[in-house]
Amino acid sequence: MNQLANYDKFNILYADNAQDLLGYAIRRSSSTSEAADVVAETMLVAWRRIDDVPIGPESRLWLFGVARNVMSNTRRTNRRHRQLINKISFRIESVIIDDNDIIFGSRSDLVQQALQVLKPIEAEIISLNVWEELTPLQISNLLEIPNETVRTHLHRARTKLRDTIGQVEVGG
Amino acid sequence: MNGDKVIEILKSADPMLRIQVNNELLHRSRANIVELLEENDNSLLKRLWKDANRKKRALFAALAASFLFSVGGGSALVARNLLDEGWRESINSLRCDVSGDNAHLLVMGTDTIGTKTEYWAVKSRKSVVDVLVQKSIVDGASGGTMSCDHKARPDGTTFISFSSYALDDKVPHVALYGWIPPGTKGNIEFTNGRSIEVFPDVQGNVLRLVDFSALEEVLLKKLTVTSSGGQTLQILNLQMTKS
Repeated sequence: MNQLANYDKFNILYADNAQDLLGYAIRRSSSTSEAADVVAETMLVAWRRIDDVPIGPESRLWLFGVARNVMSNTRRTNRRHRQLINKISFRIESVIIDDNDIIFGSRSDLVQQALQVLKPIEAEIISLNVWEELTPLQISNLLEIPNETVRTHLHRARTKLRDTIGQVEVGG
Repeated sequence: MNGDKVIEILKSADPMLRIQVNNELLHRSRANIVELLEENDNSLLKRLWKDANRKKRALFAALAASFLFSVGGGSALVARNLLDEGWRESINSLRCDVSGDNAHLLVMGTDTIGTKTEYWAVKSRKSVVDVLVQKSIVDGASGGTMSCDHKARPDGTTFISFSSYALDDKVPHVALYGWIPPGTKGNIEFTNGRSIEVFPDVQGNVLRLVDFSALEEVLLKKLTVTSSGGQTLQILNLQMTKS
C-alpha cells in the first residue's frame, strides 16, 4: 500500500474509532492522563502497523487489542518514543473536559463493591460486554480465549453481580 | 433481582457517563496527531537506516559523527550547554544532522495565561531544528515541541511557522515563530479570514503567542511583509498541501 493510501486509512481509522478507543482506555485507567497515554500509544502502533490493521468494524477490535497490550505492557519505552507519546497524549487529554483523576472513585459504591467480587477476567468480560457492547464472539477474538469460555465467565459474572447487588440492596 | 436490572445498574455506573469528552475537538486533533507522526517518521537518517545492513549503519553513524565534528567546530564551544540538557538530548535523538549543543535562544515571550515560550533554533548546512520550550510561570508545568526540517535555511530567509498547544484552559493557543527582515512588519493571514500582525526584534526573529477561540481549526495562508513606509516587500504562500 502506498503512503497516501496509508495516510487515508489511518484517517478513517481515527475518525471511526478514536471516540470508542478513548472510552475503552478511560474505563480501564486510573486517570485521564493514563487513558490519554494509552490512546496515544495505541495510535502510534496503528500508524506503524497500518498495513496490519483490518478495514471496517474489525478495526475497532484490533485497536482494543493493541490498547489492552499497551496497558499490560510495563516495559519502559525509550526516550524518543516517550516524547512522541507525550506529545500525542497531550492533545488527546486536552479533549477530556472533566479532569477527573480518579475514575474508579467516580463509580457508584454499589457497583464498585460488586465488581470486586468478580475475578479479573470476569470483570473484564462483563465490562467489555456491557460498556463496550461487544458480543461474546468479539470478546473471544479480543481476549484470544474460546467463545464458550467467554460465555461461561459472562454467566458467572452476571450471577455474582446479581447476588452481590441484590444483597447490598436488601441489606440497605 | 433479574439479570436486566444488573445490566442496567452496571450501565449507569459506566465511568464514561461521568467524563465529558469533546468529540468534535477529538476528531479535529486528528490532523495534528498525523502531523506529529509524520514528523517523527521524516527523519532522513531514519529513512536511510531503515534498509541498511549493520555495516552500513556503522559507516553512516561514523560519517554523521565526523560531519558534526567538522561543521560544529568553534561555534559549538561558544554556545554549548545553553539549552537544557534534556532538550539537547531530544534534539540529538531526532537524528537530524544537527547537535543540540549548538542551539541558540532567539527570542522569548509569554502568553495570556502565563506560559513562557522560548524559541530556539539550531542549523546545519542542510537541516534546521526549531524548538519551542514552554513553561508555565503560574504552576511550573513545562513542555514544548520541536521539528526537524531537512532543508537548508540560510541566514536572512523569511519564514513563519506555527505550533499549536492546549493547556488547562482547553483553549487552543498558537505560537507563531520565524524570521522577517528587521524593521519590517509581517501580516499573517489564516484560512478562516483572520489576520495577525507580527513585528520582528532587532535581529529579525519573530515570536507571537496567540489565543484562538475553541473549536477553530485554522492554517496559515499568507505572509505579507511590508516596510515601515507601507511598501510591500514580500508575499509568501504559507498554505500546507494537505489538511
